[in-house]
Amino acid sequence: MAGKSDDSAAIMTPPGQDAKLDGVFDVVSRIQKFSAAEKRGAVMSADFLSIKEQWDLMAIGFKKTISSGLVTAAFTPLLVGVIEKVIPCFGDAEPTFVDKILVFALTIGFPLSYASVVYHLGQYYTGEYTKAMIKQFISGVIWGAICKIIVVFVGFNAISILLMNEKNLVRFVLFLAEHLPKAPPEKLNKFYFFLVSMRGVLETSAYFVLFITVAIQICIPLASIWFQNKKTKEHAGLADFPT
Amino acid sequence: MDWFFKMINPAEHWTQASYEAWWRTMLQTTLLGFWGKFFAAICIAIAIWFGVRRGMFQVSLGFLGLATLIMFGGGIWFSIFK
Repeated sequence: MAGKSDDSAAIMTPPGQDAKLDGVFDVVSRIQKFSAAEKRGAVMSADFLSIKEQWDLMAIGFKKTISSGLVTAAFTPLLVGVIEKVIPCFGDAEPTFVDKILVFALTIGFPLSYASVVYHLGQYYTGEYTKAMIKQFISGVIWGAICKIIVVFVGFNAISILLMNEKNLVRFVLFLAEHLPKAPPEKLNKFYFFLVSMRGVLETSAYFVLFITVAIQICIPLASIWFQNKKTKEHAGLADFPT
Repeated sequence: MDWFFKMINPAEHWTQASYEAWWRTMLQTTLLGFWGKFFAAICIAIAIWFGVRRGMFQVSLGFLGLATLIMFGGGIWFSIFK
């Protein structure tokens, strides 16, 4: 039993006084503690996981995936624009290797960091109670990833096809020319061609987000659990082997 | 109060040309070249630390915004003013 001041020692907390789970690290720490207890012989049924805890775990997985996903979605057009040499990075249209690394870090740094934390959950996928906790959390992550894919994929394609079609772009540049009489026509012309190139960038970005989300936020957690399951079965097989 | 505004007016201490040159050098140093890349990398690292490890998403977004400004501000600046 642990009070508020000694969270590190807490394994079981009295009903209604559970420390609130606030992020991925909290979830991993909680799972780690219960896993340690189960590995040392504590027998805990999956039924101990209350509906509130199930909901909390799922909500954290969902929220964190959506927030990191939105960061990726916001920066992906910049990444694709830099790679396709449409958007200048550090004032230069020709990106260097370091520029590309930095833009990649800006875009996929967040989901990759979350995925590396979530990947560690696999090693705690042993006891019945911890398995139930991990399943709830991972289902939140996967649902978040699916929602993100739908919103971003449809959104980028809709912006590219419906909003940034040729008619609207011409209308927008004419509007700018009318309201910014001092703007040189060659700059407006350049801006028009930049917007036309951005249409292609958005379409590529939609597929990039789809690919990267499936790879990082769906495959990595599932692979982690699958590897652990395989390892556990192998260990169980060795244990059964007559000596 | 007049002395205060006089004191903080850069035109009292700098010539217009040297003041502009200083800002130009400062912006070119932070938005382009090695130092631009260095500051951007630091901002991304801090953003990931705050966002993932500390769970302070708003602070992390601020640093990501700063990194974006450093990485793409130079391009925007030169495409408008050059």
